Amino acid sequence: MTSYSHSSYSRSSYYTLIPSLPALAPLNKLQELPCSTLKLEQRLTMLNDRDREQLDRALRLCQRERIGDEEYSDTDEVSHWQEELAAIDDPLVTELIADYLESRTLVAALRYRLAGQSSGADFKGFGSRVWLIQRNWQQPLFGLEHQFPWLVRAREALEANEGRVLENLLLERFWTRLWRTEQTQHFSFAAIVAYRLRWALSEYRLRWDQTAAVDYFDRWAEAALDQFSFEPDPISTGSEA
Amino acid sequence: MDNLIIALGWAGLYGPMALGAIGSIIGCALAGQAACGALLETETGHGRYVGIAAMPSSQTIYGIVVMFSLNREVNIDNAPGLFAVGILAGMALLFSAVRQGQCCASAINVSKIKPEIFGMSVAPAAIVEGFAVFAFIFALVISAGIPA
Repeated sequence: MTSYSHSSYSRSSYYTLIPSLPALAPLNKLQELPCSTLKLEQRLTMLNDRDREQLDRALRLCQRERIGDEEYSDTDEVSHWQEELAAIDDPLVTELIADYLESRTLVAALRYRLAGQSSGADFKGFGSRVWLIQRNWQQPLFGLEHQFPWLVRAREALEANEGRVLENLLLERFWTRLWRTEQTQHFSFAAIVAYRLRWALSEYRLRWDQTAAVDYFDRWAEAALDQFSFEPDPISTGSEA
Repeated sequence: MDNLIIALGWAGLYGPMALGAIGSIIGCALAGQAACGALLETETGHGRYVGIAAMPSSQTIYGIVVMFSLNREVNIDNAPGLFAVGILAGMALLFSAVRQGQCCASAINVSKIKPEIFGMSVAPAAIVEGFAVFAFIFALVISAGIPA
């Protein structure tokens, strides 16, 4: 990794930028975003071009809904992650994102095995533990349950086909990691990236809840309408004649 | 060699003031920048943000007082003492001002989110100020022992 130190000018701009970022409610209490993403992006214009580019890269890597890369193979996806991550210079940001990508790798491995893949030899993933996953494919949690205790709950959710529970688990885990980074890395670029990623998670979560609410309403409306049998009105259906 | 010792004596004389001022410049700038950021995000309490941003300016005042207490005709006998006391006091003032600026910036950042903790959030900055006061007072005390 190339070493990259933020210039003193950009470091001092973090002192203005960070207090200007509106506080985000915890994920489990989130009702709405404190301001529009457009307004947030206006404030982020305080970042210089280099930092902005790094932030965009981090956002792309952690984006949960991507369009246009459905045809990517796992190998393509992993090499894309590696290329993008290598272009991020801040070691704290790299560590954050690598942790997130590794968690996605672990969940992908669980999914593949649940789908019936009998051998881990062909499994492709991100991180330094891929060889362990391949070697320990037959073990319930690849022998990684001590390093990643959340895998127990992730596996239970997958086996129970509770996608929402699993998604919640992953979101909350990453959210906590980001929040901790913000609390420990005051007025740093890593704190800004962690905040922006938390914002992206909040947006995703709110969209997700909205979709769930619309689905629920549709199901509720259908169930309610099924209770009534409507006789077609001969006058209103006259055009069929 | 004598000239060098005399020059160091003068550096010790002006050091507390210059180093204190450098610290105040950095500290006030950091806290001031945080205050500017908080102004964007808050509707009230702007005065206190700007007020707290000025906290690290006291180190310059302490530096001026120490400089006056050390002020005397610099000669080969008192130059080493002036240098040691002046530079060490100045360094203490510089670091305390920078760190106090960072404490103030953090206080502004958290009290923007939770205004009711403003008083408590300023406490770390006040503690740092306490150490600057120690450096200042004892520089005055010890300067009395430097030959005139």
